[in-house]
Amino acid sequence: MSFDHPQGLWLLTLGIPILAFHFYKGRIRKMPVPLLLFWEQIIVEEERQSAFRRIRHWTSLLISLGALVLLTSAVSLPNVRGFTRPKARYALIFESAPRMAAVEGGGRTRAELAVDRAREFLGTLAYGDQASALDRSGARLPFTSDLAVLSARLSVSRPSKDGVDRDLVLEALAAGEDVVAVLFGDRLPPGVDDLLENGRLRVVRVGSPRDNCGWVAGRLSRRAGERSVTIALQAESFAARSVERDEVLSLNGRALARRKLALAPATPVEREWVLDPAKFPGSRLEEGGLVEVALEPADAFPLDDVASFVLPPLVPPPVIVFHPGEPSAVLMHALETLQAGGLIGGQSLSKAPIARYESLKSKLGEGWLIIFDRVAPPSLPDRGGVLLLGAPGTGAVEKPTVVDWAREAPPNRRIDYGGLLIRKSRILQGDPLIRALEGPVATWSARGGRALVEIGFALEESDIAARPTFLLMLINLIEWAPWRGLRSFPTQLAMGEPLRAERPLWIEDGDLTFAQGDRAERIPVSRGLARTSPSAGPGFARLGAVGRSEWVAVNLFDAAESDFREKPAGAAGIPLPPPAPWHAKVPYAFLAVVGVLTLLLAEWFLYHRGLI
Amino acid sequence: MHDSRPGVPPLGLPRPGLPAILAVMPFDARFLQTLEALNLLARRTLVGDDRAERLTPRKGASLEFADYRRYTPGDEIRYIDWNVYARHGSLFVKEFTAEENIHVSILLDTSRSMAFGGKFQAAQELAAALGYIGLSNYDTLSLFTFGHEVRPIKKFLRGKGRIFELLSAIEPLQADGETDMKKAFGPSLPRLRGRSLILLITDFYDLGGYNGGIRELLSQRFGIHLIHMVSREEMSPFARGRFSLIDLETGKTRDATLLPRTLAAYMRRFRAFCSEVEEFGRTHELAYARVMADDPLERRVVEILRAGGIVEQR
Repeated sequence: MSFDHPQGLWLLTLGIPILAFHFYKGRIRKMPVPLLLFWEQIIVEEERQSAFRRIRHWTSLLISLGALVLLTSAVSLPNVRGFTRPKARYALIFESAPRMAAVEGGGRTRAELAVDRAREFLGTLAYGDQASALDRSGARLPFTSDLAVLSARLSVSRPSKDGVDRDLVLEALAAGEDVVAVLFGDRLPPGVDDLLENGRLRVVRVGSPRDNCGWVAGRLSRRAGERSVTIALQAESFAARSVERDEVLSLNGRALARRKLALAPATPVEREWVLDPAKFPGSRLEEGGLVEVALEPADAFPLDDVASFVLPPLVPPPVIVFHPGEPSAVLMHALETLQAGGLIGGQSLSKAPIARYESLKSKLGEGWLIIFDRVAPPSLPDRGGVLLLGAPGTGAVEKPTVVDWAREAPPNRRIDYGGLLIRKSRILQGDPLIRALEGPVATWSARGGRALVEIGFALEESDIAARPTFLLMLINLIEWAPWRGLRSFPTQLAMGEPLRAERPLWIEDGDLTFAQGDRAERIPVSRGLARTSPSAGPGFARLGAVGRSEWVAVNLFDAAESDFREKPAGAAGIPLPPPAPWHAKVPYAFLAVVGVLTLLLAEWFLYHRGLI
Repeated sequence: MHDSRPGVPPLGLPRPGLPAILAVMPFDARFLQTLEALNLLARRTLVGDDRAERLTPRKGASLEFADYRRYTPGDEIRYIDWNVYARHGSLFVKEFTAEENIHVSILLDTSRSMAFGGKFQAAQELAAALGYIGLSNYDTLSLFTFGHEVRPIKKFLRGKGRIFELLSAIEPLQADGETDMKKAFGPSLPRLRGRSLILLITDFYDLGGYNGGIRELLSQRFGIHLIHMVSREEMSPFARGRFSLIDLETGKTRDATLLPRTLAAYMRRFRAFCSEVEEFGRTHELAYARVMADDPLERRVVEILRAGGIVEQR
């Protein structure tokens, strides 16, 4: 036998005064009485009636000592093998893979069932047991012995990109040698057989095998200059028999088209939707929006039944050139060439002297390409794609030698600046787009709402206009700067993937609001960077702040997650411990105090019955 | 007006040589006045020796008309009722009741049981107060103690001035010996004058039975008042635990564990005993008063004894 608090045994020393008082109380005292006759009559009667005559002298002592032993045990908390149950610590691991959103019979998802099972398990634990909870989405509830609070705080895990793996189990077990991990999920993670065998990992399975079909891949693509986009999708059925579903195309929640889709078992089907405004008159496809392709009717796993995409605007961007008096003829020729090719809107190429910039500034915004030809504006536009030709810099250099350029930068796609001759250029600060020996002669930057390319030399001061390079750079700029270059966040994410901005945000400090369905969160922003990265469920998520927002499409394109067919069972492992008996669920100190009170009540009762 | 606060000498009593009992008895002026306003009540009409204020069956010279009788030579002519003579033609004289005193005997129980719970001192105070009432009414007062025999302490005291004599006799008394009323009040009882009024102050603890002794007194045609002394300790004892009980009179011991229910049974038994004594008095038309030892003396005398029909307001 051991004790959690052996110092509590000092209480037993109180037994000495109890014994002393008992014997003091039990001593025979002399008492004169005026007439013994009365007493004799009564005493004879009493002694005849009392069945406890021999033991009553000791009953009070036994009650007092019993109460003392109970109180001592309440403080010292003894551990007796076979009688008391050792304290246990459990780390509850919740599977957070997207497949946990599958709806089971009864209308509850696997994730909800996992929480239900976990609460049932917590209800079987004994008082003093501790439990914690964690999942792959990053949710953590630390170890606590307040199981009721923990049970109340358990919630359905947010879907994560990946499911539980051995590393997560080991992370849970790292809390101590005595910790037992309990996984609530639909599958065994790979590589945990040893943990199952030694009992460090127990598994509570939720969900049952079922048929399913859905999208397992999808991509939205658009060729430069084309006024249409193509959505390529792949559907697959994970069922023993063929299935027929409807594909429904919708834009901003409005159905545009519907067609049949037949799925044979284990045979992926490629599907394609060409989103051409001409084919969907009146749909306003050219303005862009939120496109969904849904399989109807929805089945028990709706996450893979909808493919979502953020559609970019399909109309060519308007371009305006600010100039010192006359725009560069070379520049205008290039732009008119692009306009003729449909890359710039038919009526959307305009020019204006720099003096009009301040008055026109408020009309410019996202979707525009604003070119400053040999002039520097007093302040750059806050929104839109901006190209500065002959931008001001730290100093001019004669005949700089181009040595390198940023090949991965969007404005430099497919461009070769090798052999570019520049008579005179300024050296710029920032991310180099074209680097000369003397320093960057062209830079680029992008943040939410604005894409900027600065070139340190005018077109006439180099032979760039005489090469296809310049035209290609303009095409790249028109494709990138008015929409893609303005986005901080990617347009497409995998389910459970954290929402991280690719570029600085359009606000320096404050809060960014993340909204998806009825879920909304504030993301703190500091120095243009989001401090947290929530993961989103399937569908569209909106990130907004100070009048500007960006939409992100989140899809589950993962055949492994969509496949709910029977899998090999794997190692069974050791079952969960049996439920604690009722008295183990109550604090021992409480039971002991109840015992003491019962003894005192019994003594009070016996005292008033005259038995002790 | 005399100051009646404790510690102030009683009115009219000399300071030096006072009996010690006076130190604890509130015999101040106010209390003495209260006592003087009381009279010992006799249920039977008793005969005394001297003229006093109490009516007797004897014919005398009071203003209280008693009867007529035929005139015989030698009778006082002034007592002839001439109105009767006018109607009947015969001479009749009026007779009047005599006003005499009575003989009051205080029988104070001095057995050891009276020493329990302050009963004896309370009984001494009561005897002194009753004695003063008797003396202030010109009754003849005698004080006897009894246990297994009756011992005369003071006999035939008359007048208020003898109160110091009485107090001095009471003060040295000690509770000692056993009670045997039958033996004490039997044929060996010292001669009491006439048909005395007996004030029996006792706790009635008599192993032989108190009723035998009292019947002996009744057979001698005494007027008897029963004054039952009880103490709070014996009425509702509080002791708990193991005790060796010692009989104060016999010295006999008995080990016992006193439990709440034992005490409750004892109290029931004691109340039954008190009721039994009271019922005995009622049956024999004797005045009965139960006096609690720790009650204030004035309350004992004025309220309890008046309620019991032992004293009355004059």
